[in-house]
Amino acid sequence: MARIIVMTSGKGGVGKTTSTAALGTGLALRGHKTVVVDFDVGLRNLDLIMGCERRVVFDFVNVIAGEAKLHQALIKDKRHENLSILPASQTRDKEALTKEGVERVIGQLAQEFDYVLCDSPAGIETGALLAMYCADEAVVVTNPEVSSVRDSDRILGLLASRTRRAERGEAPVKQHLLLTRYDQARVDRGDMLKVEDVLEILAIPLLGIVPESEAVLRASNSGVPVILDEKSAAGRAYADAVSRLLGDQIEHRFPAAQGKSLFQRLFGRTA
Amino acid sequence: MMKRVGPSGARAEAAPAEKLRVRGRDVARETPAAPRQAGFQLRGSAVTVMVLKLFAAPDARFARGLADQVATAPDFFRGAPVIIDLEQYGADPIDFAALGELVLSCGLNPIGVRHVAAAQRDPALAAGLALFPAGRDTHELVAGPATVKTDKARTVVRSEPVRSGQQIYAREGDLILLAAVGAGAEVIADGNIHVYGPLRGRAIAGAAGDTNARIFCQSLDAELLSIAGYYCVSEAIEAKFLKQRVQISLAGEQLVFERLP
Repeated sequence: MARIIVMTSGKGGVGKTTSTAALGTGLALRGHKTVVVDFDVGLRNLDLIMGCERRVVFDFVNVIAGEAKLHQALIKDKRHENLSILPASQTRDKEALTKEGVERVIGQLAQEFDYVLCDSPAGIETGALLAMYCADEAVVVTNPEVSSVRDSDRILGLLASRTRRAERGEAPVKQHLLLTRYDQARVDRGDMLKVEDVLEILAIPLLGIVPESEAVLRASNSGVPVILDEKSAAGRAYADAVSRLLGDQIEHRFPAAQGKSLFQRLFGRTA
Repeated sequence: MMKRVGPSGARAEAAPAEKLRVRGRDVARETPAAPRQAGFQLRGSAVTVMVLKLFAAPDARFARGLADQVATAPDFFRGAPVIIDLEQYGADPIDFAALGELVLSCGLNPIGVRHVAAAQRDPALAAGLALFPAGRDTHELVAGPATVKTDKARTVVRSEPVRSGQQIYAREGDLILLAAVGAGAEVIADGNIHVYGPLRGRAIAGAAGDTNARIFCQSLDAELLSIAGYYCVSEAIEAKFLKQRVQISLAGEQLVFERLP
């Protein structure tokens, strides 16, 4: 049975697409058949980050409208045969997605793949609601700052009320917190929220802490998911997050200058 | 800092409370306090009374049947007042004195009649039976407002966090929250609100105007607190109460904060 996971945040620019590309690639590297689906119709980005923008012919909207078959729209990743991308349409808008269409296409993908990662657009409108609708699990991507945390809280509320699982009264969507763009120096200066503060407010399990890193922008611009940059702290953090998603218990790695006491406190509360 | 408002939208209407007070005044006007000195007070009161529905002219079978029924629960029926209902019987002449005697002999106490035709009025009064207006049957009364009320007056208990943008309303009851109320969340109750996680959002108690409603919380960090329409924003909360276990009540037009033991 496939795991359908939505990558969501409410707020824009926190790293949803970067994280989708990284986790999707990571899952494929571990041998799981994975598809990443771009729900950001009209602002297509996932194909760029995945480095396959020149190979897009048909897209998600074409498949929903019945203008193309699913297999015509799916792009196989050149680096990993387990990985596929279903790109968004750049010329349409979110209204082109329908609940029935999304359910049908995600249902088809779930039969063929082990992991279906849905890259949600920002906001809480149609696009974001449809991206989360079919999800079994959610990775809530959050930056350590108040507006991002509040938007994530809002999204957690929607996950509990506006998903298919909620409508059917099934077990709730499993939630994971992915803290991105974490900058220890700014946390120490008090510019950024501490991991503990974010966990206290959102009260969901921590999947990983991804440090702010130059490697992320470099990776985006070159179309190579940052998880493939094994030397970068961000790449290693994503690799750890993939392990945890697969059920491994590993300690949370912290960027430099990390006190051991905080480390242990944190692990204690999220293990 | 405190003002009287109807907080956010139409939910927390102050109107029902106003109406109630107006109605209270009307009742007071109808029953002035003066007669107390005269050693009595005349007041209206609703009493449940048994109704005996008559389908045909009473005969021996009627008397036996009624006596048997009284015998099934003598403690309940013996001497109980009863109104004789003639709706099914119709307008035919009837010997009220004999009927009264008969009912009395069965162990019930006939006090009046209802659904009487014009020609039956004087004979009924002459037999010492009062005229009652046509009312609804008891079971209708019970099934109506009473059951609806018990449905609504339930306490709402929630164990999941209330997230930003979510709104929980306990109509005509208390609201008990076992997890956090996030910033930007709104929890509303016509009764009291208890929050066992941190309270960071808005809490509106006594939303229908109950000035006795209170808010209890384990860690006060609310954006807004309101009781019966009197509110205060987080800026107005004294720093010494922040992140503390606090109860908030209403005294006059002021929200009163008290640290819980």
